[in-house]
Amino acid sequence: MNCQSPEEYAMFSNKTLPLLLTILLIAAGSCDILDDQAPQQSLPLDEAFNNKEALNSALIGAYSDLQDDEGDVAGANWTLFPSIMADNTLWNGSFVSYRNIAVHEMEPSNPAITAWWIDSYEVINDVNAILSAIPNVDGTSPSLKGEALFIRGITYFELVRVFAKPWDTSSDNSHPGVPIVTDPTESSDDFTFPSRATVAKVYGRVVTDLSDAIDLLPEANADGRATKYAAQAYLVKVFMHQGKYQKAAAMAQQVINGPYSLNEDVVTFFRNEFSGESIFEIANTTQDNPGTNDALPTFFNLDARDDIQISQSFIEALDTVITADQKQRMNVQGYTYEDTRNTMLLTASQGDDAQIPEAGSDNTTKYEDAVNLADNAPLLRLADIILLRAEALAEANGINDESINLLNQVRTRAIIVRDQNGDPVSDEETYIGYDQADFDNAQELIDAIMLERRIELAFEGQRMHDLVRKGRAVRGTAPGADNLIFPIPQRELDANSNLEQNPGY
Amino acid sequence: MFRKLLYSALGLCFAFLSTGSLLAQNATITGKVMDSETGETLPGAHVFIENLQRGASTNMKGRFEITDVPAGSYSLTVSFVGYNDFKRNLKIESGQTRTINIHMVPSEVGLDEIVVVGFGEQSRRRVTSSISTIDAEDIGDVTLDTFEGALQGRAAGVQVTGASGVLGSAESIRIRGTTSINASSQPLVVIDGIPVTTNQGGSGTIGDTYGGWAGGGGMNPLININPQDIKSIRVLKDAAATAVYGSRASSGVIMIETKEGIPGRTLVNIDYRGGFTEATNKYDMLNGSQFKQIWNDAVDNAGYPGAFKIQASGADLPSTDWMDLVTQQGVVQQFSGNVSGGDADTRFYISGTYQDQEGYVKRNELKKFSARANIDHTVNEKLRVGLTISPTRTENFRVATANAVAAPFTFGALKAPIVPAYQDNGEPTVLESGAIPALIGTVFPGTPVSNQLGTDFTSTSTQVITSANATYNFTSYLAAKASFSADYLQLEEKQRITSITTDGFPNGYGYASNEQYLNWNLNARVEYNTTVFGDNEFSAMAGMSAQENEQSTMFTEGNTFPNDQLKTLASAADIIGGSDERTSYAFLGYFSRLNLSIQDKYIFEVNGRIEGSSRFGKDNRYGTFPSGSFGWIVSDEPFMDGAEFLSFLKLRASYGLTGNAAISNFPALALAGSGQDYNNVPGIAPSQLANSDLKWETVQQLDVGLDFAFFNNRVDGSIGYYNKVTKDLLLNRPIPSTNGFSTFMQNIGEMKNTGFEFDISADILTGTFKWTSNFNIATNENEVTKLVDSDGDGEGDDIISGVNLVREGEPLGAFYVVEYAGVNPENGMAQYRDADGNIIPNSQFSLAHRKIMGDPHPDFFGGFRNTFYYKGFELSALFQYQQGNEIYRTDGEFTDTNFNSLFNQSTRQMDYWTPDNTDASVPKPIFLANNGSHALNSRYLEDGSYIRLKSATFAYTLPAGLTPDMKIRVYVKGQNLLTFTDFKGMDPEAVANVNNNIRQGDLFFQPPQQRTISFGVNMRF
Repeated sequence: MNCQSPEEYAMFSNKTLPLLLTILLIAAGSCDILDDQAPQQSLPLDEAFNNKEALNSALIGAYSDLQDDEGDVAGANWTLFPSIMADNTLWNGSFVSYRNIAVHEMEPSNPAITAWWIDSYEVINDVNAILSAIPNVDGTSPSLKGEALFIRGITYFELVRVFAKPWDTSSDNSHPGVPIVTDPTESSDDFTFPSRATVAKVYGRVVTDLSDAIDLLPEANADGRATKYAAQAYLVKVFMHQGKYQKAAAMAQQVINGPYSLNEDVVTFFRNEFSGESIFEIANTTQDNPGTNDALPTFFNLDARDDIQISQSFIEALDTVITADQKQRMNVQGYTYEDTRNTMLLTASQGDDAQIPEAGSDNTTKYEDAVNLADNAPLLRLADIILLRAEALAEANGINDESINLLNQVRTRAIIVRDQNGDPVSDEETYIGYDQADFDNAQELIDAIMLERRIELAFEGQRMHDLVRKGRAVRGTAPGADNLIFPIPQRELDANSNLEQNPGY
Repeated sequence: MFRKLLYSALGLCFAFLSTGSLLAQNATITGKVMDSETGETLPGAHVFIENLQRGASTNMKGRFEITDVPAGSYSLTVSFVGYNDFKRNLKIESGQTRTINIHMVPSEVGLDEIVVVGFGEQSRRRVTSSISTIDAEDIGDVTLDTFEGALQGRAAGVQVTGASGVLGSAESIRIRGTTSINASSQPLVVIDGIPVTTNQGGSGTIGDTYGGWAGGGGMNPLININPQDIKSIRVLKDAAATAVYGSRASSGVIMIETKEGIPGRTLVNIDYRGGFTEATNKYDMLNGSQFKQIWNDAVDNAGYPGAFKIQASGADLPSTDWMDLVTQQGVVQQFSGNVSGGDADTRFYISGTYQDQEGYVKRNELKKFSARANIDHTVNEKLRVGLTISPTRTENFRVATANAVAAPFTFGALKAPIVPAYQDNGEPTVLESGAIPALIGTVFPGTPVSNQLGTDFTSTSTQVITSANATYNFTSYLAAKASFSADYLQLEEKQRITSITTDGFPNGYGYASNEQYLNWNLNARVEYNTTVFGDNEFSAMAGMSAQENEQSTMFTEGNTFPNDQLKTLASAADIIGGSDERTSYAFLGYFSRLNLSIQDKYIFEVNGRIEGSSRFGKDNRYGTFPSGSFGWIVSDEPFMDGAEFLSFLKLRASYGLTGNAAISNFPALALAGSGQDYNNVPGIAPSQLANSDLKWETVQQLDVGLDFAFFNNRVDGSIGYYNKVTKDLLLNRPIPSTNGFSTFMQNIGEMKNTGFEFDISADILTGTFKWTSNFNIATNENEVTKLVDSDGDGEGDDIISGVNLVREGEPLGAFYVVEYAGVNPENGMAQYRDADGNIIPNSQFSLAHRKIMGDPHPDFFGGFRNTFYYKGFELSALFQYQQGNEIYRTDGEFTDTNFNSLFNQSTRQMDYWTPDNTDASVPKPIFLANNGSHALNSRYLEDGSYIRLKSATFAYTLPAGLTPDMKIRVYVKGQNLLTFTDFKGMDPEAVANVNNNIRQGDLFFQPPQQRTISFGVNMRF
């Protein structure tokens, strides 16, 4: 081999060396490129729970998961699924998973039911993480803990109501409920494979969480967030399910004593969010729901999917809201009446009996936002609690004036009596209100309250739970029947052999 | 490590220095290059003097001239595509003009053809790995809109399936089966050494975070590759070929080489084609009176009152053929041209293309402008530099597909025919219900026609791929090469749907998005070649590669527009959503290859790559991907001397590891996600748990093969077997969601793909009437061998996704459905089978149990191509086929439900059960009741085997005497002309789910492939 000539050496150093050096520099710099990459839409998990401000953000994150994560639990499905399972609705849509819920033919692989389960536990983990961080963080407000406990309590309550056989007042309720998890999962070392706690234990957890929350929560809070009264109102429902009527009535009275009043008319609640009657609503904003299939108006609204129509059974029930005696009283005077709740039923044809729509073709207009699908989910409102107190008192004390008065409060707000000139009659209660004489026994009073609840709270997700806790059949399916309870999702059974499937699946 | 390499390279450079040469008096070499058989002159042949590193190309008359040649002894090489290289030693005297005529021998096999391999080149003879090649001539034969088309039916073991016939939609490419479950199984695509962006973009992309109504998949990222610029495509299939691409090579690598200039006369190539396109198939749906007949019978059978019946008849009964109204015959045309040439020092290739395609779905259009410049320059004997730049702009007028009411093909099939498309005033119907009974009313606003008219949906992509490269030859046996490239892609998407559409009703909706990808890549390597101990050759290569990819996405959406004429979001009263997201990843790899060829008969090769990825945990970033291969040219052994018929026989075997890192960008970190707002207050929530153990999915691949040629290379081909085992499958392992998370990304699970590949090409007839034939076939058997056992029962847990099942011992995505048992002739009710195979009635569907009833993967697939030449005429036909796969028609759950819904039904539903038609194929229609139309039902599972005449070309080249300075070729080409299949759905080919390895063979209103017939003219001068 010869040595390179000086001429060529020069060429090498002039042109090539800088090039090679450049490559070298870049190559050396490249070693950092792996470390340079970092997520830009996320924070390291340990930074999300280590200070007060972060915990407050995490609480909002928990509300957000409660509201519109994949399963849209509180934002829609806690209201939607019980609605389509009960007898007020007729499911006419094409989604198989929803249809199967509506006709009580669910399968363990049902994706909508699976999403309910997954999201519920995601929310529970969100708040468990907050609750476990609170003792290590200075300066957190009592409300932070209270709201976290509230969210956990109601999430367990809504889980046990659909995934377990109902509370049985005649047993020790040792039948399987849902797994109870109170510790957060912070790493894969924390993975657990829990079995189902008994229904008694789950209700116990719910009552504890909500009772603790009552002591911590403020009387007023930002729109869509928990208050002391929201926790109390949820406890009323829990006690009603447990048949603890005295406790329910007392708790309901505390809510009624709170800062709420019935709106002037029944429609306002559905047109104005967070109105005076609202105890707890899940806020759905225009940012949350566009384009999703899991919003209430998506299914209920005629201009959206139009999947849920009014059942024949509901229409027949509408006809019984005014008793024969009441009609007679008004006939004598030549008075007419209008149930304003029916103005929220979209009638295709306004015939002679315009107040009674036709089955199968008409929808509710309670959820009006077909464009942005941003209607709030109406979880708790005063009319509901008033009727629950009426019912609890009737159950506890038989026919009593207070129950009838509470019932009449809701009725007279909704039903307007007019004289021959079409002017409202000032003392509607005289004509459409009940009195003791209307009832031969307590059961008849309770039935009247149940009917009022059915009409007043129609399409708000109450009807199925009301029927179940009263031990009444739901569209022909017995309240404790296997096929009225959601199956434990197959994916959960596959992932956790400690879980027991519900009977019948 | 790389620095050490370079230092040693520099050291080597100083140690082994080569001689320079002295200039003397000039001589000239001139002559003519022609075909040894026909005597035809060969324009564009490359004449090269090795010692001088100088050369020239022949002109249109086959002549060349090299001037300024100093006196001396030279080795002259002449090369031309399709001919064996001609080599001759010349002694040139000072001042001489030497004339030589060169007769080139056509090469039938092209064994000495140089094959570009990962980071290097090899002669085809010595390739010891499994590589399929598709050359420009093969590609030139078909009218190609996408480069993927060049792969279809042409390479054994390569399966290309279009997601749909809609322009610009992504296509699925599988090389030797699906190798992953949760990570992508698309191969790595490398253009001139640059790994390109393969992320799908735009609305509809799985996992997209922004709005819009697109239904099916996102935009094909590879659409900007211009097939006209492609010189060759190599499909690297086995580990030996792909290991230098290490961590991203487990699904194979597709290397695209673009054209370059040839020194000599400047060549111009101009091509125009124009033609028509239409759907290969359309849904055949009920007309008005058929619809009414089944509907009314269904109402009777359900016992509903007469008010539910359709009353209108005769002229009052609309009969709208929606399918026809939303489709059209599209016009396609393309102009393209390129100029190439150069001199001994500088070579160039520049090209430009304009393409304008209309799809068969109305308002689906694609306009593409692209250009390319490839330039390289020899600075001096040692240094060569090059630059390539290829800008492309594609405007795509998109249409939604698949699962969207906005999708014309979906809604066009399902909308009731008894609704008129237009009202009396000429406006499109929106809310009117036609002859649908008032009790039912409209299902939702909008019709296929109003949705189509009310939608503006454009997607504009601008992509520039630029690469600069340099080669420095220290000596004839040591060289350093480096390249730096940037791939910039911007995708802007706008959708505006007006008040007359389903999704825009009543006040309109719009969104706009902008995605940007910047992908830079640096490669550097040194190569060393030497001859040791006589005729044994040794070569070594080592290098490094760094890549960083940044992605940014923004979008805004809004609704409530004052009127339908205003198209931009500035007019929207409500801005309802928006986002700005950024993410990135990086790869850093070091690779090396050693080759040893003993007596040019025994060839050994060792490859390896060590690579790090930002996607994995810090402790597991780097993976090592070695491979080894061996080739034995049996035909050169003395004992084969007697086998005259055998021209070439090579046995090759390889084994190696490759990786897969095609997962999300930060799966190893514990994260709390933002964007968790509640009532307009921002929040965060835990989104991901850490897995610092996360590492590459690895494929261990064994490959053995025989490459052969017979009868003086008239017949050649190869046969091979492979066994690919994917270990450490990246799996979103299901965990009990009571933990607050339902999956956890882990390396768990194993999968196996095994198969045989065979391809053969033959010149069946030679001479004036020529007939060449190519045939390829491949089998692939996929089996999931290990899955996570979370529940502790000793068996891996099934993963079920829709109709598809992942289970140990079964192929990935096996169809898991309930067995349908036809119609009970007694009562017209559907029947199923229970777990024991007993027939159970429709009412007991819940007792029926799902079982494995099919496989989405074909038993075998391939292609068959014949080309005939006579004088200037050329006729070629390419068939593509696959056999033994099933397809689940999820759209059947809508179109074949005997009126379980209000949607229009296929005409097959006319054969429904009545007391007079008890031998019916369709159960009794019962209005809005489920009689045999349950989901996950083998009623909708069908054989997806097919043979398709993928393309056919008839071309004529004008005689040379007519156009002496120009070669003119006219042609007519057809694509997707004929399909032979028993499949009842739209298109057995358009079923790919590009994004999901499990949900395969699931047909849901994907529009079928398009049939195109075009005429073209090509001029070269």
